[in-house]
Amino acid sequence: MNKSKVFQTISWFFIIVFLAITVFPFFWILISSFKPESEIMGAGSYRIIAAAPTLENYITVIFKKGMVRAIGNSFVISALTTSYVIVVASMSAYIISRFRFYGKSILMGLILAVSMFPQMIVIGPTFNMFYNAHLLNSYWVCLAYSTITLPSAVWIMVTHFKQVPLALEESARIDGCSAWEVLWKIIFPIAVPGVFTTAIMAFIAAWNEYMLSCTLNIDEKIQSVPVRLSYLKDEFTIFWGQISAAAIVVVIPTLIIVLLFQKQIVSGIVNGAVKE
Amino acid sequence: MKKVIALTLAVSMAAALAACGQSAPTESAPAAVSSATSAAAASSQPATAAATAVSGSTDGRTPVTLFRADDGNGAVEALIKGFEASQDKYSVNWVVASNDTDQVRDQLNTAFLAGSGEYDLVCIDTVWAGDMAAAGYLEPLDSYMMSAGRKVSDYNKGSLQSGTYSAKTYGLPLFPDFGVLYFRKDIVSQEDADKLIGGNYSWDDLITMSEKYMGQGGTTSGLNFQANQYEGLICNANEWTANFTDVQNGLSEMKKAVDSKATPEDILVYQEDQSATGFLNGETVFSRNWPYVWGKLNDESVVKKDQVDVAPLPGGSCIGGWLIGMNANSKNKEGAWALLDYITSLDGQVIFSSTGGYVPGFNEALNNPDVLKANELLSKPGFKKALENTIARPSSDDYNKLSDALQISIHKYLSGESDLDTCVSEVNKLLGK
Repeated sequence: MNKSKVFQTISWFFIIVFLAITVFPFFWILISSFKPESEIMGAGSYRIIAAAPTLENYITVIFKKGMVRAIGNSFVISALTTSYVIVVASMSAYIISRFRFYGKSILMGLILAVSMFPQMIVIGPTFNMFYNAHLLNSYWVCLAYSTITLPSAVWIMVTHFKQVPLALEESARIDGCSAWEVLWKIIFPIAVPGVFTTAIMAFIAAWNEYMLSCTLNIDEKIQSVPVRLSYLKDEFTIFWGQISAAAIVVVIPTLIIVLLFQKQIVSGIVNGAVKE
Repeated sequence: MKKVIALTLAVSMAAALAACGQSAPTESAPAAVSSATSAAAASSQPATAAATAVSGSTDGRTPVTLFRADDGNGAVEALIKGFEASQDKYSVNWVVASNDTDQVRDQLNTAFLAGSGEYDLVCIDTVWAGDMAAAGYLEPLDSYMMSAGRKVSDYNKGSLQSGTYSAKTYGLPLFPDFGVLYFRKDIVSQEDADKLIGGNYSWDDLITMSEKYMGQGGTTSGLNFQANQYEGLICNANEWTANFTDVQNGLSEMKKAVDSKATPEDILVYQEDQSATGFLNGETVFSRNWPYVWGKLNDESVVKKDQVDVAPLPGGSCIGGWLIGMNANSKNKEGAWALLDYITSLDGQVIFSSTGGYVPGFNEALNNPDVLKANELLSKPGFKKALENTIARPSSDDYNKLSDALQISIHKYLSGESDLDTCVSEVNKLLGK
């Protein structure tokens, strides 16, 4: 009993230290966002509450630097990418998990290998293709995003689809379902937790993507959030106050999504954890 | 058990494939690049299609696309308005570039590499002209200048020099930027201030003065400049070594300053931002920086404008700032030149400099009352003196590589990892001396 108490204290200690370290940067961003530029660096920078707190950073970021439009763009792009990836990945995952054909594991390896190409190498040819097809500065950037999201999506979904009992599918077949109907009416609904995990991962990957977005969508009107954030500096100065405010503004919508879908996200992650 | 083996096999296979995937692209990368360049040469047809798709604006004007960052002071907007009012053939389509210099370069290089004619005019940092001209991305401007009657002497000398590559002009100055010494005139004695403003001092004198005045008026250090390992180090070294003519003495003075107790302990990681913050918060007496710091001396800063004056630097002022160049693949070169010439000549420069408070790159605009009013620095004798003696950074067709090598060598010496002789011989070798 004594031993478990000691163990508990030690665990608590580590948890608190860990939390302090991980949460601190976010806390600092939050308080910096209310500070005027002159208090972020220099003598007054260690104050928790600014001597002259201000909302100007938020006002600048939201009304003058177009952060709201960037959030909108990011949402459209991430949502399009997610739905497109889910549709393509479920179809390929179904084929891979249910049909027998030669070179299946090689195919799986290839899919994974695609996602391991360094982006710097892919970006040049991708730009050329987009330029020649006149797809620059448009929502078509979703297509390019699939190179980073699709492979892992296929891998995760194959595991989930394999868990669906074959008997279910067989009885559906006997009742007259085609392969297409089996996928969308039987397997897909059962594997929903897995689909959710995949969707969330694709969404976050697309939301955070910087390189492709910054190269393919240069126009201000179509920029995504990470690129827009990088515009919050000039040649010599980084506007830390505005960047902090923007970071807070950007986190809010994603935070709402996570809170709304918390149950599904957690169940999805746990569901994939155990292989039966 | 069988499953475990299968899984391990699959994972190792994937890893092996991934390894192949990793090595293959590194080999094929140059091939991809060269094919892109040849595609650039051959792909004029789709580009033309793009141009015709874009043109045909509502009021019958042909659009000229300008790629330039937004400094947030309305200067580019004013320029565009002025240009569109001055003629009725062209309109301007402004694509806002990032304020992150490296990002702009990446974006431009990717677009140029694909043979893109998307941007007719591009704003480039002074040091990119060599690289981009050597790669054939930029259009030489000499024949256009000749037919428009523009002379080399019309423009800021150092700035134009940095836009020149193998005796041809590839970029005209949008605005020149150059290093100056800010100092606290409420701390420094009148006698020393006169010496500074007149430029009658050496780097050694500056170090002595820094040590003398340090600690007065609430300051904690005497002098700061940019000694981090980045492009700014080249600008500073350029000034300390008088345009790399006196490498030996210049670098040893620089090291002396770094080691002196008058400079901040962490001076070796200082960039413009840290230097400016230190000066604006009243922590230092002397600070080497660009003209933009003057605009930051306002209500928010601890130090105010009436406490500060500006002096030229002993070795000359390193040129920075931006040039405008024409995309060699532009489909509308006539329109592009019309806009380029407007921006870089008297009318455009007056509008741009007086709206944004820049130093004009067209010499005639320097005496314009609106420009003088917008930029208080231009009426300061120390600033004018600095403007007279501007020096460009070493030019090269692979400037990036040269700059990196110089930075590493100089920073190693400043941080005490190598000695003066090694550093000087390395620098001289890199510069081909």
